[in-house]
Amino acid sequence: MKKYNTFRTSIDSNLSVSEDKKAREARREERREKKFKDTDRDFNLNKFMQVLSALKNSIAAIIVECDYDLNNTDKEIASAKKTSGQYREVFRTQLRRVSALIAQAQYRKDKDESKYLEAGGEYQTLIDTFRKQYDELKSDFEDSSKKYKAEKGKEIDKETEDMKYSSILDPFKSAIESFNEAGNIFGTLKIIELADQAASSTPDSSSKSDENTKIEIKKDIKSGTTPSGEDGELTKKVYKLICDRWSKSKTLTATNQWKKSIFCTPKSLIIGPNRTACIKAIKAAYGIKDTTGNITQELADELKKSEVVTESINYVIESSRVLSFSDFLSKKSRTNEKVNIEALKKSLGEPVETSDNKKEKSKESWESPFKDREEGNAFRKWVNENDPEFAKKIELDKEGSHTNSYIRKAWKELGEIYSKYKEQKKAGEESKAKAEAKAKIEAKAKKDAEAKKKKGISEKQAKEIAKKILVAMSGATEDEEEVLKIFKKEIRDKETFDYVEKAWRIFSPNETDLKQIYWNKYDADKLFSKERYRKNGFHTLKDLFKKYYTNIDELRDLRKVLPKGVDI
Amino acid sequence: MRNTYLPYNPVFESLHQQASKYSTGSGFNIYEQSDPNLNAEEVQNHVDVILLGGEGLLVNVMKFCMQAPLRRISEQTVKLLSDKLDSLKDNKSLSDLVSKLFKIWEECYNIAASDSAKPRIMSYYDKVNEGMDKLKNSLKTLEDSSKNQWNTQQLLDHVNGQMEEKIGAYRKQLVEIKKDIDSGSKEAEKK
Repeated sequence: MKKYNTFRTSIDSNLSVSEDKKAREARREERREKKFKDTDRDFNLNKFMQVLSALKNSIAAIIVECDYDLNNTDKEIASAKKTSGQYREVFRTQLRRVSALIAQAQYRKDKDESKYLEAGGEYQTLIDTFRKQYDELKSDFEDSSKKYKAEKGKEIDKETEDMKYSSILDPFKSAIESFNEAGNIFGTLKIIELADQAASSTPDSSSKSDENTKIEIKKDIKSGTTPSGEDGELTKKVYKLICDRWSKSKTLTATNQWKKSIFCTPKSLIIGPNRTACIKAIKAAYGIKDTTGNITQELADELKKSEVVTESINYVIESSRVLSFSDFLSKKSRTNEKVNIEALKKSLGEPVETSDNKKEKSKESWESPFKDREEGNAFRKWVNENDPEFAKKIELDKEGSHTNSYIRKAWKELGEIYSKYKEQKKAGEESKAKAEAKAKIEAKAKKDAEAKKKKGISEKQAKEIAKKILVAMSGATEDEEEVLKIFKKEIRDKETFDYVEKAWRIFSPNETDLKQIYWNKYDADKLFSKERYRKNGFHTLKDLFKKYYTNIDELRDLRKVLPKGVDI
Repeated sequence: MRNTYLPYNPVFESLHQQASKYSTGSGFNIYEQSDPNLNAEEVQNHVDVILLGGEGLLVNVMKFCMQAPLRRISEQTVKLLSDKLDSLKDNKSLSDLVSKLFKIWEECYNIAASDSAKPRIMSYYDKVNEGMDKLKNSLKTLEDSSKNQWNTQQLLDHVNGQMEEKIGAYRKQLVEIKKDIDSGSKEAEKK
């Protein structure tokens, strides 16, 4: 016998998930729990539901695994069937308990229209019950999943007891781990599929279900009014259809009218001028004779018939619809219909800017005032001599291209003064020209500085805010609420956001920096004291938030506090 | 003097050499690291676990092809399995069976990869694929270490006999799944 019992090294079932990520997830969960476990604070229903949903997903994933064992016809795993059968019922009970708890929390939230339950108030008993139930549920699940995994492990050990060579056994066991992980992923996917199915069977809950519900508009809903009652409901449905069919149309969504209309998440149902313009344009694209901005039966019918419009700019293209799972279920395949984008453009009456024609535009608007490189260099030299600070700021060399972006920038700022200087120089008044130009440059610099002071925040302030964001997002506090507070209090407009982002970009902290701050190895002040550009850093705040805001609810909260014009 | 009770020679083997001969596994076990050289019985035991066992290749190929996250994928993969199931019966060699099973999985993977929901579902299929690659490694090492014992008629008969039994059971399971899929599609049509 070549097998020796000695000691055990436990195999973590989630080997492929990095320790770091796991630790981060654990910290995140801990923080969420704090939001409803801390007895001094109000009870946060949103965080409570988030934690419950995560627990629900874990339970569902393990049930899928049990289900497979039970349905498997293989003889060898008869014992596995027994184990899985036993535990499946346990997990199913837990799933029912967690679902009931989520439903209760959701009911309370909807009824009070608040995400908080006040501590020490009339809901204290309810809060205590919620906390108690959650603790019990969590420990029950942890216990039973531990036991289940241990028993499954024993079965695998039993099955492989005759295998003694690690070169064969190791990859085999590792494969089992991969399959288990795949099972967990499958559990989550299954939940999504069930949600899709549920959505497709509930009227008004998805765009596709709108196709099955009839929209009967007996009387046109007039433009310029705020529909209510039955008309309001119909308008909502039409807006939803417009959103579904047209939100991928580059031509329409690039317009200001569309941006201001907000068909997808309307706060009010008013058919204002922007919505009217969009409705008119859509009618034109469908070839509807009625050219008013009213919501008509014909418009609703066309929208229902239509596919998702995903044309590329400058072309009239057949729309092609991405079939979703519920489409597949309903087995409705639609034929492509043509949508007249030219008519849409004509109706909107505004040129649509794309990245291509933006480039062309900028090229057209810049015609180099310099005949050749020599003339360009003369201007470069002049700028460097007369306004060295500005030249340094825009990194304008004394010699270089006479058409590139650097000289263009310089010309935009100082071109006028230079032209005048040249004219005076030609007329033989060189010293006067020099003095005048100098005075003008100084005056301009002063004016700019004042304007900057009035308009935005100082570099120092921007740096401070960026630093606060860094600390909030670092492992130590990584507090989404803190970030929301910063945005609410200090970043109220796009300009401030741009300044903060500029400050952020200069230092571009990376993931390691965030971790080092957590471990107190780096000091945020120290990090922001020296300019540097980390190659793998988060160069924009968008990058940072994209990486860490993986929870949809948290991202939604963040989007709510972002200043106008900033999108993440 | 050599201690015969020890599984190693403390005189001629350094501690590192001794340690590197073994690796730890779950369940208080230590396994030999040395090149395996298996006899006929051992080969059959390994084949029973890795190829035909409850966590083996056959079970996992069937499981992950049947267990698709979307109904439209299930429809295709179940059809594929139904078509190919009988081809797994009479195998000319063990390697033949192994390659057939991997090919079936590959086709299932390709069905999923060509679906429009690819970005959403491929994390699952990639993880399974990772497991399949590891199984492939394990089977390759087993084949290499089995030498003459791998393609013996005795082992082939044993495997073909087992397969016959399992295919019957899987056939029944596939019929049930197909029923489920058909009733699901009808319900969806009604809606």
